[in-house]
Amino acid sequence: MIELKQVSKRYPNGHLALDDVNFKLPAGDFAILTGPSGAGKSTLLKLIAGIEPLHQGQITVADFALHKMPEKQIPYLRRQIGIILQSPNLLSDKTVFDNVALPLVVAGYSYKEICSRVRAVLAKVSLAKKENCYPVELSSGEQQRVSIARAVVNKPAVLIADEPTGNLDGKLARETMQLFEQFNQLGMTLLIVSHDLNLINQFKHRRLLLEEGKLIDAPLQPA
Amino acid sequence: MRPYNLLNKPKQFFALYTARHFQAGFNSLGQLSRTPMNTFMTCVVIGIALALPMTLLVLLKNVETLSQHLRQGTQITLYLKSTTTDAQATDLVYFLKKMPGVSSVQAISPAQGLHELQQQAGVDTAVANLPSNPLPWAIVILPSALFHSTQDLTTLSHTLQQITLVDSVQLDALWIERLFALITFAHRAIYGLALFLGIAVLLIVNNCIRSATQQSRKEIDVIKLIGGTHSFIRRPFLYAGMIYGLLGGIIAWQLVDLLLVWLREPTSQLANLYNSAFTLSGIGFLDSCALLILSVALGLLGAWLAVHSSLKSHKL
Ligand SMILES: Nc1ncnc2c1ncn2[C@@H]1O[C@H](COP(=O)(O)OP(=O)(O)OP(=O)(O)O)[C@@H](O)[C@H]1O
Ligand SMILES: [Mg+2]
Repeated sequence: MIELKQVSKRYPNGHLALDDVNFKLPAGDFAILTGPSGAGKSTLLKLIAGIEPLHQGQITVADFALHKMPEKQIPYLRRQIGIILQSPNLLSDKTVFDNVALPLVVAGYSYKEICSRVRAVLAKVSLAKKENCYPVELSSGEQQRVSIARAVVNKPAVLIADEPTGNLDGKLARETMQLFEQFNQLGMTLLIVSHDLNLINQFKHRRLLLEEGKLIDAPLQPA
Repeated sequence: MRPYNLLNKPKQFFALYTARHFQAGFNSLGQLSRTPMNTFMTCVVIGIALALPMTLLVLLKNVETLSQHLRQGTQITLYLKSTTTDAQATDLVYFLKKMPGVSSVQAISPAQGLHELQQQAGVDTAVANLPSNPLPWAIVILPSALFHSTQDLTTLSHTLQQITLVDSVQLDALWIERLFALITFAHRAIYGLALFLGIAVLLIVNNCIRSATQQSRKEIDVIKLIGGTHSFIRRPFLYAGMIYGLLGGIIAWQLVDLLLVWLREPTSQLANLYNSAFTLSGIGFLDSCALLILSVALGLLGAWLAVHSSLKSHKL
């Protein structure tokens, strides 16, 4: 579940990236956030993930109230949400397997559990054969999928993704969206950023439109 | 859906905790062994920085023992009043022998004193012309081994001064006082030096770990993004700092030992010339342990400070 109340974000340089944003995404929902470049989509996701500090408004994500949470709690929030940023940011000196395993290592899972979960999720993103490859040996679409695998391996309650299909061709992008739908059917709440209208028009999901920091066309109760 | 309910499973928690620590330790060891030359150089520099004050301390300790040896030669001479009779003098000797803190007593009668004086060339004619023997009874006291601190000696000589027959007490310890003052001075100087070099070690480790965190910047960002806590991020760097400290400490320890072995031969030759059985003592078990603990602690602290400042500067 994600809820934003009167959230505004002004960057230190004075730029107002988000202006009084309100919306509520109930648990198990799937929403697509769109808007022109520079509208503040990444900023919104960064606030939800605790990457950018929140100064104005209230954000609640998966039982964590970001506006009144000590900074020390942020790692535990991030274990509950899968985060996919605009760039895959994989570790180049670690194999695909190790990259995907990282969230489980951090959370302290046993080796056996890590193996089975990582293999399962790699199979889901069709990278089972590449588990011993290093990121440089992968195409950018494959790298994108590795970062998706890493984000969901911990079975998070919420997944937020910034242009996860940005590096993928039409067919792969569609398959990735279908993968997200599968996660959604398992009960995951998803907030996906995309400005690929061609792609999102193929899916019937709640749509949030952000323009110059203002969220429009977003009824509090989805139609 | 959480992996472990940590609070309800302390055993599992403990296993998890130690496993993570070992993992972090091995990771750091692996990281350090990937650049063996760099690591080795750093450790040698740390080792030299620690070895210098340590060697000086060990040498100073030896000087102290040596001065204890020398102090055992300290004697107290009592000059009795000229009216003292032979019988009184013998009684006093008997009394002094029973005093605590007195090891041996030797009485020198005026006649004996004069005789000894006459043995010395140049004095004999002058002494021969004296109308009567001007020398008083003298009693030479050797304090017992337990009474060798300055304070004990002063107290003893004060007590002796109280005896009615005693005219004056001469404590032959001035040069030892000077030596001791010098040793105290040297102690301070060495501790001051040790402080500076300790800070240098801290800064060396701090610098190494800081550059390591800069090299792992991306890794730190990713780990933060997927929910790694600060302590999880800190851990391998702290281990690396401790490993630097430990290796540096071991090198310092070996250097001190080597230097002492090298000095042992000439020292015992020197001691032989003075008819002394003095031998140079080594660094010792407790001091070695203290050295290693201190160097590991310096490494840990240096690393902690480095990671702390780099975590603070990170945005994520
Ligand atoms: N760290 C920052 N400091 C100052 N201004 C920033 C910062 N990050 C982003 N901005 C500004 O905030 C606005 C929104 O940025 P944001 O990255 O959220 O856009 P976006 O909607 O994700 O765009 P895109 O589709 O191109 O990724 C932009 O005008 C950008 O210049
Ligand atoms: Mg963006």
